[in-house]
Amino acid sequence: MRQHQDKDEADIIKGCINEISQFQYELFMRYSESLFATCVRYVGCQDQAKDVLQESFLAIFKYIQNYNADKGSLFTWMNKICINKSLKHIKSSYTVIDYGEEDHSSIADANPSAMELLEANELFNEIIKLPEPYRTVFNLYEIEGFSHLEIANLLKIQEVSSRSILSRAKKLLIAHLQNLQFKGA
Amino acid sequence: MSLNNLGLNKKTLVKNHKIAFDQDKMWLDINHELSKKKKKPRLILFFTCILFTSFSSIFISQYQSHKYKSQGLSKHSIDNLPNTPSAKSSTILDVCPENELLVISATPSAKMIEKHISANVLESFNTPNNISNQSVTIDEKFDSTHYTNTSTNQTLTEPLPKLELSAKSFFKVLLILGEVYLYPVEEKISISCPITID
Repeated sequence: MRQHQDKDEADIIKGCINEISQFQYELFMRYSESLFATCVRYVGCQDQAKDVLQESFLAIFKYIQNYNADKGSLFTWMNKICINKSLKHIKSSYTVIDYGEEDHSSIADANPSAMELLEANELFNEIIKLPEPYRTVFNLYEIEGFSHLEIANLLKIQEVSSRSILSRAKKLLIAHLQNLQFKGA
Repeated sequence: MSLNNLGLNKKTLVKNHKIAFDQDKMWLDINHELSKKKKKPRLILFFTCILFTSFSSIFISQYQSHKYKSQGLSKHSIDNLPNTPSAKSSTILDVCPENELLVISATPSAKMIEKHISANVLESFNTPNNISNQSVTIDEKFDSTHYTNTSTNQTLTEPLPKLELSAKSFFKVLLILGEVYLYPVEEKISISCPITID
Protein backbone atom coordinates (compact mmCIF):
# COMPACT_ATOMS: atom_id res chain seq x y z
CA MET A 1 0.00 0.00 0.00
CA ARG A 2 2.80 2.35 1.03
CA GLN A 3 4.72 1.43 -2.09
CA HIS A 4 1.63 2.04 -4.21
CA GLN A 5 1.19 5.48 -2.68
CA ASP A 6 4.86 6.32 -3.21
CA LYS A 7 4.60 5.27 -6.82
CA ASP A 8 1.56 7.46 -7.25
CA GLU A 9 3.41 10.36 -5.70
CA ALA A 10 6.37 9.83 -8.02
CA ASP A 11 3.99 9.91 -10.98
CA ILE A 12 2.38 13.05 -9.69
CA ILE A 13 5.75 14.75 -9.26
CA LYS A 14 6.73 13.74 -12.79
CA GLY A 15 3.44 15.03 -14.13
CA CYS A 16 3.86 18.31 -12.28
CA ILE A 17 7.38 18.73 -13.66
CA ASN A 18 5.87 18.31 -17.13
CA GLU A 19 3.25 20.90 -16.19
CA ILE A 20 0.35 18.53 -16.77
CA SER A 21 -2.69 20.13 -15.21
CA GLN A 22 -4.27 16.85 -14.13
CA PHE A 23 -1.29 15.95 -11.95
CA GLN A 24 -1.03 19.46 -10.56
CA TYR A 25 -4.67 19.20 -9.54
CA GLU A 26 -4.03 15.81 -7.92
CA LEU A 27 -1.14 17.22 -5.90
CA PHE A 28 -3.19 20.22 -4.86
CA MET A 29 -6.16 18.15 -3.75
CA ARG A 30 -3.97 15.73 -1.85
CA TYR A 31 -2.04 18.23 0.27
CA SER A 32 -3.84 21.55 0.22
CA GLU A 33 -5.86 21.03 3.41
CA SER A 34 -2.79 20.14 5.46
CA LEU A 35 -0.78 22.99 4.00
CA PHE A 36 -3.65 25.36 4.53
CA ALA A 37 -3.54 24.47 8.23
CA THR A 38 0.16 25.31 8.27
CA CYS A 39 -0.50 28.68 6.67
CA VAL A 40 -3.33 29.42 9.10
CA ARG A 41 -1.13 28.43 12.04
CA TYR A 42 1.45 31.01 10.99
CA VAL A 43 -0.67 33.75 9.53
CA GLY A 44 -3.46 33.42 12.05
CA CYS A 45 -6.22 34.37 9.65
CA GLN A 46 -7.89 32.10 7.13
CA ASP A 47 -8.43 34.75 4.48
CA GLN A 48 -4.79 35.79 4.43
CA ALA A 49 -3.72 32.15 4.73
CA LYS A 50 -5.58 31.40 1.52
CA ASP A 51 -3.54 34.01 -0.31
CA VAL A 52 -0.35 32.59 1.16
CA LEU A 53 -1.37 29.05 0.22
CA GLN A 54 -2.13 30.05 -3.33
CA GLU A 55 1.23 31.77 -3.62
CA SER A 56 2.89 28.71 -2.09
CA PHE A 57 1.34 26.34 -4.61
CA LEU A 58 2.45 28.53 -7.49
CA ALA A 59 5.98 28.34 -6.08
CA ILE A 60 5.63 24.59 -5.56
CA PHE A 61 4.63 24.03 -9.20
CA LYS A 62 7.39 26.35 -10.38
CA TYR A 63 10.19 24.73 -8.42
CA ILE A 64 9.01 21.14 -8.12
CA GLN A 65 11.87 19.94 -10.31
CA ASN A 66 14.18 21.01 -7.46
CA TYR A 67 12.55 18.61 -5.00
CA ASN A 68 14.92 15.87 -3.94
CA ALA A 69 13.23 12.78 -2.50
CA ASP A 70 16.47 11.78 -0.75
CA LYS A 71 16.35 14.86 1.46
CA GLY A 72 12.85 14.33 2.80
CA SER A 73 9.23 13.74 1.98
CA LEU A 74 7.34 15.80 -0.54
CA PHE A 75 5.01 17.06 2.18
CA THR A 76 7.94 18.30 4.26
CA TRP A 77 9.35 20.13 1.25
CA MET A 78 6.00 21.73 0.45
CA ASN A 79 5.42 22.55 4.10
CA LYS A 80 8.74 24.41 4.17
CA ILE A 81 7.68 26.46 1.19
CA CYS A 82 4.42 27.31 2.95
CA ILE A 83 6.29 28.29 6.11
CA ASN A 84 8.66 30.52 4.14
CA LYS A 85 5.81 32.16 2.28
CA SER A 86 3.94 32.66 5.55
CA LEU A 87 6.99 34.21 7.20
CA LYS A 88 7.43 36.50 4.22
CA HIS A 89 3.81 37.52 4.53
CA ILE A 90 4.14 38.10 8.27
CA LYS A 91 7.33 40.11 7.83
CA SER A 92 5.58 42.38 5.36
CA SER A 93 2.79 43.01 7.88
CA TYR A 94 4.60 43.31 11.18
CA THR A 95 7.75 44.72 12.63
CA VAL A 96 9.48 42.38 14.99
CA ILE A 97 10.52 44.28 18.07
CA ASP A 98 13.52 43.33 20.12
CA TYR A 99 11.95 41.93 23.26
CA GLY A 100 15.06 41.60 25.36
CA GLU A 101 15.52 38.91 27.96
CA GLU A 102 12.68 37.35 29.94
CA ASP A 103 12.47 35.48 33.20
CA HIS A 104 11.76 31.91 32.07
CA SER A 105 11.01 30.53 35.48
CA SER A 106 7.54 32.07 35.69
CA ILE A 107 6.04 29.66 33.23
CA ALA A 108 7.13 26.58 35.08
CA ASP A 109 4.30 26.48 37.60
CA ALA A 110 1.19 26.50 35.48
CA ASN A 111 -1.39 23.80 35.85
CA PRO A 112 0.01 20.69 34.12
CA SER A 113 -3.39 19.20 33.57
CA ALA A 114 -4.28 21.96 31.16
CA MET A 115 -1.93 20.61 28.54
CA GLU A 116 -2.85 17.03 29.18
CA LEU A 117 -6.51 17.66 28.69
CA LEU A 118 -6.04 19.68 25.60
CA GLU A 119 -6.96 18.17 22.29
CA ALA A 120 -4.82 18.91 19.25
CA ASN A 121 -7.67 20.88 17.70
CA GLU A 122 -8.00 23.13 20.69
CA LEU A 123 -4.28 23.62 20.91
CA PHE A 124 -4.26 24.55 17.24
CA ASN A 125 -7.02 27.08 17.76
CA GLU A 126 -5.24 28.62 20.71
CA ILE A 127 -1.96 28.86 18.82
CA ILE A 128 -3.52 30.81 15.99
CA LYS A 129 -4.99 33.24 18.50
CA LEU A 130 -1.52 34.22 19.68
CA PRO A 131 -0.49 37.67 18.45
CA GLU A 132 2.61 38.29 16.41
CA PRO A 133 5.48 37.61 16.85
CA TYR A 134 4.61 35.11 19.60
CA ARG A 135 2.74 32.86 17.22
CA THR A 136 5.60 32.67 14.74
CA VAL A 137 8.29 31.94 17.29
CA PHE A 138 6.08 29.43 19.09
CA ASN A 139 5.31 27.63 15.83
CA LEU A 140 8.91 27.58 14.71
CA TYR A 141 10.28 26.41 18.04
CA GLU A 142 7.60 24.16 19.46
CA ILE A 143 5.96 22.73 16.39
CA GLU A 144 8.64 22.74 13.70
CA GLY A 145 11.54 22.17 16.09
CA PHE A 146 13.79 25.04 15.00
CA SER A 147 16.51 26.16 17.39
CA HIS A 148 16.57 29.70 18.78
CA LEU A 149 19.63 30.43 16.69
CA GLU A 150 17.82 29.34 13.53
CA ILE A 151 14.76 31.39 14.47
CA ALA A 152 16.95 34.40 15.18
CA ASN A 153 18.56 34.11 11.75
CA LEU A 154 15.24 33.56 10.07
CA LEU A 155 13.48 36.51 11.69
CA LYS A 156 16.56 38.73 11.83
CA ILE A 157 16.36 39.12 15.59
CA GLN A 158 18.72 38.32 18.41
CA GLU A 159 18.77 34.81 19.78
CA VAL A 160 17.92 36.08 23.24
CA SER A 161 14.90 37.85 21.80
CA SER A 162 13.69 34.60 20.33
CA ARG A 163 13.88 32.99 23.77
CA SER A 164 12.09 35.90 25.30
CA ILE A 165 9.33 35.94 22.73
CA LEU A 166 8.83 32.22 23.14
CA SER A 167 8.60 32.61 26.87
CA ARG A 168 5.92 35.26 26.57
CA ALA A 169 4.11 33.20 23.95
CA LYS A 170 3.95 30.30 26.33
CA LYS A 171 2.65 32.52 29.11
CA LEU A 172 -0.05 33.84 26.87
CA LEU A 173 -0.95 30.40 25.66
CA ILE A 174 -1.17 29.02 29.16
CA ALA A 175 -3.34 31.94 30.20
CA HIS A 176 -5.64 31.20 27.26
CA LEU A 177 -5.74 27.55 28.12
CA GLN A 178 -6.53 28.22 31.74
CA ASN A 179 -9.26 30.55 30.67
CA LEU A 180 -10.60 27.84 28.40
CA GLN A 181 -10.48 25.32 31.24
CA PHE A 182 -12.23 27.79 33.53
CA LYS A 183 -15.00 28.31 31.00
CA GLY A 184 -15.32 24.58 30.54
CA ALA A 185 -15.67 24.03 34.25
CA MET B 1 4.33 23.23 33.74
CA SER B 2 6.26 23.82 30.61
CA LEU B 3 4.80 23.65 27.16
CA ASN B 4 7.73 21.40 26.40
CA ASN B 5 5.31 18.84 27.76
CA LEU B 6 3.46 19.16 24.52
CA GLY B 7 4.79 15.75 23.62
CA LEU B 8 5.75 14.38 20.25
CA ASN B 9 2.31 13.01 19.53
CA LYS B 10 0.56 16.30 20.12
CA LYS B 11 3.10 18.25 18.12
CA THR B 12 2.63 15.87 15.24
CA LEU B 13 -1.12 16.17 15.51
CA VAL B 14 -0.88 19.94 15.39
CA LYS B 15 1.57 19.72 12.53
CA ASN B 16 -0.66 17.38 10.56
CA HIS B 17 -3.79 19.30 11.33
CA LYS B 18 -6.06 19.82 8.32
CA ILE B 19 -8.50 22.60 7.64
CA ALA B 20 -11.19 22.12 5.05
CA PHE B 21 -11.82 24.92 2.61
CA ASP B 22 -13.18 25.43 -0.88
CA GLN B 23 -10.39 23.68 -2.75
CA ASP B 24 -12.06 23.84 -6.15
CA LYS B 25 -12.41 27.58 -5.97
CA MET B 26 -8.75 28.03 -5.09
CA TRP B 27 -7.73 25.54 -7.76
CA LEU B 28 -9.51 27.65 -10.36
CA ASP B 29 -7.47 30.67 -9.28
CA ILE B 30 -4.22 28.70 -9.27
CA ASN B 31 -4.97 27.12 -12.63
CA HIS B 32 -5.76 30.55 -14.05
CA GLU B 33 -2.39 31.86 -12.82
CA LEU B 34 -0.59 28.82 -14.20
CA SER B 35 -2.18 29.17 -17.63
CA LYS B 36 -1.27 32.88 -17.67
CA LYS B 37 2.35 31.94 -17.07
CA LYS B 38 2.18 29.37 -19.86
CA LYS B 39 0.81 31.96 -22.26
CA LYS B 40 3.56 34.46 -21.53
CA PRO B 41 6.32 32.72 -23.50
CA ARG B 42 3.95 32.34 -26.46
CA LEU B 43 3.14 36.02 -26.35
CA ILE B 44 6.82 36.91 -26.11
CA LEU B 45 7.53 34.67 -29.12
CA PHE B 46 4.68 36.26 -31.04
CA PHE B 47 5.89 39.79 -30.42
CA THR B 48 9.46 38.77 -31.15
CA CYS B 49 8.34 37.43 -34.52
CA ILE B 50 6.49 40.66 -35.27
CA LEU B 51 9.52 42.72 -34.31
CA PHE B 52 11.81 40.51 -36.35
CA THR B 53 9.56 40.77 -39.39
CA SER B 54 9.32 44.54 -39.05
CA PHE B 55 13.05 45.00 -38.68
CA SER B 56 13.71 42.61 -41.55
CA SER B 57 11.43 44.51 -43.91
CA ILE B 58 12.97 47.81 -42.82
CA PHE B 59 16.43 46.40 -43.33
CA ILE B 60 15.58 44.97 -46.75
CA SER B 61 13.99 48.20 -47.93
CA GLN B 62 16.99 50.16 -46.67
CA TYR B 63 19.29 47.75 -48.42
CA GLN B 64 17.39 47.97 -51.69
CA SER B 65 17.29 51.72 -51.48
CA HIS B 66 21.03 51.74 -50.92
CA LYS B 67 21.48 49.35 -53.82
CA TYR B 68 19.51 51.55 -56.19
CA LYS B 69 21.38 54.60 -55.10
CA SER B 70 24.67 52.87 -55.62
CA GLN B 71 23.57 52.23 -59.17
CA GLY B 72 23.23 55.92 -59.73
CA LEU B 73 19.48 56.14 -59.38
CA SER B 74 18.39 59.25 -57.65
CA LYS B 75 16.31 59.04 -54.51
CA HIS B 76 13.73 61.21 -56.14
CA SER B 77 13.15 58.79 -58.96
CA ILE B 78 12.88 55.81 -56.61
CA ASP B 79 10.51 57.55 -54.28
CA ASN B 80 8.34 58.55 -57.16
CA LEU B 81 7.81 55.08 -58.46
CA PRO B 82 4.12 54.26 -58.64
CA ASN B 83 2.80 53.11 -55.30
CA THR B 84 1.28 49.93 -56.61
CA PRO B 85 2.39 46.36 -56.22
CA SER B 86 5.52 45.77 -58.13
CA ALA B 87 6.16 42.63 -60.03
CA LYS B 88 9.59 41.24 -60.19
CA SER B 89 10.75 39.15 -63.03
CA SER B 90 8.85 35.92 -63.54
CA THR B 91 5.88 37.37 -61.67
CA ILE B 92 2.62 37.36 -63.47
CA LEU B 93 0.84 40.64 -63.19
CA ASP B 94 -2.66 40.25 -62.00
CA VAL B 95 -4.08 43.31 -63.57
CA CYS B 96 -5.28 41.83 -66.78
CA PRO B 97 -8.47 39.80 -67.07
CA GLU B 98 -8.73 36.45 -68.78
CA ASN B 99 -5.12 35.58 -68.70
CA GLU B 100 -4.05 38.39 -70.85
CA LEU B 101 -0.78 38.48 -69.18
CA LEU B 102 2.53 39.97 -69.43
CA VAL B 103 5.13 37.43 -68.56
CA ILE B 104 8.77 38.07 -68.38
CA SER B 105 11.25 35.31 -67.93
CA ALA B 106 13.01 35.07 -64.62
CA THR B 107 16.24 36.95 -64.02
CA PRO B 108 16.95 37.57 -67.61
CA SER B 109 20.38 38.53 -68.55
CA ALA B 110 21.03 41.96 -69.79
CA LYS B 111 21.37 40.70 -73.29
CA MET B 112 18.08 38.91 -73.12
CA ILE B 113 16.25 41.94 -71.88
CA GLU B 114 17.81 44.06 -74.46
CA LYS B 115 16.91 41.58 -77.11
CA HIS B 116 13.35 41.20 -75.92
CA ILE B 117 12.76 44.85 -75.70
CA SER B 118 14.34 45.72 -78.90
CA ALA B 119 12.53 42.96 -80.72
CA ASN B 120 8.84 42.92 -81.48
CA VAL B 121 7.67 42.76 -77.94
CA LEU B 122 6.80 46.34 -77.54
CA GLU B 123 5.40 46.54 -80.95
CA SER B 124 2.71 44.04 -80.10
CA PHE B 125 1.77 45.88 -76.97
CA ASN B 126 -1.39 47.58 -77.99
CA THR B 127 -3.37 49.87 -75.82
CA PRO B 128 -7.02 49.29 -75.06
CA ASN B 129 -9.53 50.66 -77.48
CA ASN B 130 -6.67 51.24 -79.76
CA ILE B 131 -6.27 54.65 -78.29
CA SER B 132 -2.94 54.99 -79.74
CA ASN B 133 -2.63 51.72 -81.48
CA GLN B 134 0.93 52.53 -81.70
CA SER B 135 4.01 50.65 -81.00
CA VAL B 136 6.38 52.20 -78.63
CA THR B 137 9.93 51.45 -79.05
CA ILE B 138 12.75 51.94 -76.71
CA ASP B 139 14.38 54.51 -78.76
CA GLU B 140 11.35 56.69 -78.73
CA LYS B 141 10.66 56.60 -75.03
CA PHE B 142 13.98 55.87 -73.50
CA ASP B 143 14.48 58.28 -70.72
CA SER B 144 18.07 58.52 -69.79
CA THR B 145 17.79 61.69 -67.79
CA HIS B 146 16.52 60.12 -64.57
CA TYR B 147 18.06 56.73 -64.61
CA THR B 148 21.56 56.92 -65.73
CA ASN B 149 23.36 53.89 -64.48
CA THR B 150 26.76 54.94 -63.30
CA SER B 151 27.78 51.64 -61.85
CA THR B 152 30.88 50.35 -63.41
CA ASN B 153 30.41 46.68 -62.63
CA GLN B 154 26.89 46.15 -63.87
CA THR B 155 26.58 44.11 -67.00
CA LEU B 156 23.68 45.77 -68.67
CA THR B 157 24.41 47.46 -71.88
CA GLU B 158 22.55 50.40 -73.22
CA PRO B 159 19.71 51.15 -73.36
CA LEU B 160 18.96 51.50 -69.70
CA PRO B 161 16.91 51.46 -67.44
CA LYS B 162 13.49 53.09 -67.48
CA LEU B 163 11.13 52.52 -70.29
CA GLU B 164 7.76 54.01 -70.69
CA LEU B 165 5.87 51.76 -72.97
CA SER B 166 3.38 54.17 -74.30
CA ALA B 167 2.46 57.75 -74.27
CA LYS B 168 -0.39 56.84 -71.96
CA SER B 169 1.96 55.09 -69.56
CA PHE B 170 0.12 51.91 -69.01
CA PHE B 171 3.22 50.37 -67.62
CA LYS B 172 6.47 51.64 -66.43
CA VAL B 173 9.29 49.26 -66.78
CA LEU B 174 12.36 49.69 -64.76
CA LEU B 175 15.41 47.64 -65.46
CA ILE B 176 17.90 47.44 -62.70
CA LEU B 177 20.82 45.12 -62.97
CA GLY B 178 19.01 42.50 -64.93
CA GLU B 179 15.83 42.55 -62.86
CA VAL B 180 12.65 43.64 -64.43
CA TYR B 181 10.18 45.66 -62.42
CA LEU B 182 6.76 46.34 -63.80
CA TYR B 183 4.62 49.04 -62.37
CA PRO B 184 1.02 49.13 -63.50
CA VAL B 185 0.03 52.72 -63.61
CA GLU B 186 -3.67 52.26 -63.98
CA GLU B 187 -5.69 49.59 -62.25
CA LYS B 188 -8.21 49.32 -65.08
CA ILE B 189 -5.71 48.56 -67.67
CA SER B 190 -6.34 45.75 -70.02
CA ILE B 191 -4.14 44.45 -72.68
CA SER B 192 -5.78 43.56 -75.86
CA CYS B 193 -3.33 40.96 -76.88
CA PRO B 194 -1.25 38.71 -74.68
CA ILE B 195 2.35 39.44 -74.66
CA THR B 196 4.86 36.79 -73.93
CA ILE B 197 8.52 37.07 -73.66
CA ASP B 198 10.02 33.67 -73.97
